[in-house]
Amino acid sequence: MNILEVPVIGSRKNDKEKLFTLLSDRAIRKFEGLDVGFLQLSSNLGIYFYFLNQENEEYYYLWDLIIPHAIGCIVICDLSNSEIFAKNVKVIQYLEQRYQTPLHICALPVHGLEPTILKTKGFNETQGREFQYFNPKSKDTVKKILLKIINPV
Amino acid sequence: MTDGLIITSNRTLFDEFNLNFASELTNFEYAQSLQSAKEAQEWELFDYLLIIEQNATDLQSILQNLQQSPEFKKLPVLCCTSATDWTQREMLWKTGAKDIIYLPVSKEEFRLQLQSFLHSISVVEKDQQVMGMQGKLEDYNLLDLMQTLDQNKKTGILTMYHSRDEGRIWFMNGRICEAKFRTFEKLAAIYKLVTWLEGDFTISFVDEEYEPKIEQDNQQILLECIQYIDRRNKLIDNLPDLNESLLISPETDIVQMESESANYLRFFQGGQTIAGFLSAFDQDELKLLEIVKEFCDKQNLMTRDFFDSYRTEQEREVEEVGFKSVFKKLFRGKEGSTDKGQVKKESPTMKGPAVEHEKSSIDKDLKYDRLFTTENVDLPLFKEKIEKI
Repeated sequence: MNILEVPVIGSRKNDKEKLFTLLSDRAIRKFEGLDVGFLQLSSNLGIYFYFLNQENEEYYYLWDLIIPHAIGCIVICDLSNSEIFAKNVKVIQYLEQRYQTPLHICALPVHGLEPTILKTKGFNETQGREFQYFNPKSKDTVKKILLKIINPV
Repeated sequence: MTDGLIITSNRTLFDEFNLNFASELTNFEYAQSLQSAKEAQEWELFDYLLIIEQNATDLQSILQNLQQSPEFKKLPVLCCTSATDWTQREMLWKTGAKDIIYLPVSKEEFRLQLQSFLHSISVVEKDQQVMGMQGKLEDYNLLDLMQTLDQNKKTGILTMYHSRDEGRIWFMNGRICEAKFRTFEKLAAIYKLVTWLEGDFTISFVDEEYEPKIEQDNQQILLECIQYIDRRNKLIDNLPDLNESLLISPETDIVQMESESANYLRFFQGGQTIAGFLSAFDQDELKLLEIVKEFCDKQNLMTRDFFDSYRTEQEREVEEVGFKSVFKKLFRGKEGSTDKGQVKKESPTMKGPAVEHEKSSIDKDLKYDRLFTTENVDLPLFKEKIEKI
């Protein structure tokens, strides 16, 4: 069985699980500290999505077990909420400092529109850091994100 | 019950006729032209033709063509036309119309006229039959009937009914002259009919001469039929029950198959029986059975029970490979050796210098390296599948 792992980190309050539910009817399984969704692409091909809440600091030790082996790590950024966004920034710095896994920084829509100000908010597009757009209502944006994760490898 | 073929260029008219006048007495099929009528006749044997054409000259032209066509020459023709001129109507009668209904006509009157026409052709049919017999294929199958008709040197038409299918064989002094079943070739039609062991048959003994259209004599045909049944039975013995539902294996990639094989296999999507497969294609049953056998041998097809157990096994494998067992270990490890106080964690919100995560204790307990590996993963295949979602 060929398996890819993709951790998805974001605020508890945002729709990061939509990244999975837009593509699959399967239920997301709840575990202590993380939720898991399995997207079966064929009988021997699948992707595990690990949904991690940036607020659950007591479970950050799980990140060490998951993120280093992942093909890419998605961080969902919410620019419409300054508190969440401030935490996003800290999480991204933490991830970059600690792991080599490529980061895919995916911005949620602001007032229903694709945000264009992510870079000016303090992020630079450096090596191993990709900026993308994630619309929880659009399957296409999810597919683009996944394809981008797979392509650079 | 009679089967009528309506020939008209106006589809709406056919729909109206079909809606109002199709009954327990007659069924209607539609043909837009003489050509499509000939194609329809290959699929179904009709008892009469009904031509709806307002223009008498066009109607006469169709009738003339029908008279030249061996398929339709002997069928009674009912014409519906708005021709009021006697000369035109006279030509229609002379060209072979069995009856003419003048349009416009009320529904009630048309119904009565149609009934009268149907009655008249059934009386004629009865008159034409010197004698006949009927029975069940369970008691006398085609092989029995062929031998009986051969021994008694009978001339007539054997009509066989099986489920919703109907086939006919023409005899002349006991010899098989012609066979018709859907679009099958003559001998292939006989091979198909010989496999019918359930249904009804009727034999009409008529005083007519049929031109032999099959080269083989009865003995050769009988021998070939027996050999055919033998080969068929051997193939069936190696297959699941003909009435058992078969499904396409989840492992089968139809896209990668040759188009002909893929077309055959697609028939089984959602579950279909071999009997249904044999009935769906107008092709030699032996060839079709060979195809199914190949599918079964390659496990492209599987019975529902096998399919269910296969799926369950696959899911179990995924679960085993997957997160279930790993996470069980993971959380057991956490409960056993770590708690919030013991494990020093580093987080982006922690103040002060980063403290190295004590993951050795976790690793020790969990013997955990990684869930999965991205090495040797077929990424282009992932890409292809994601693009198809």
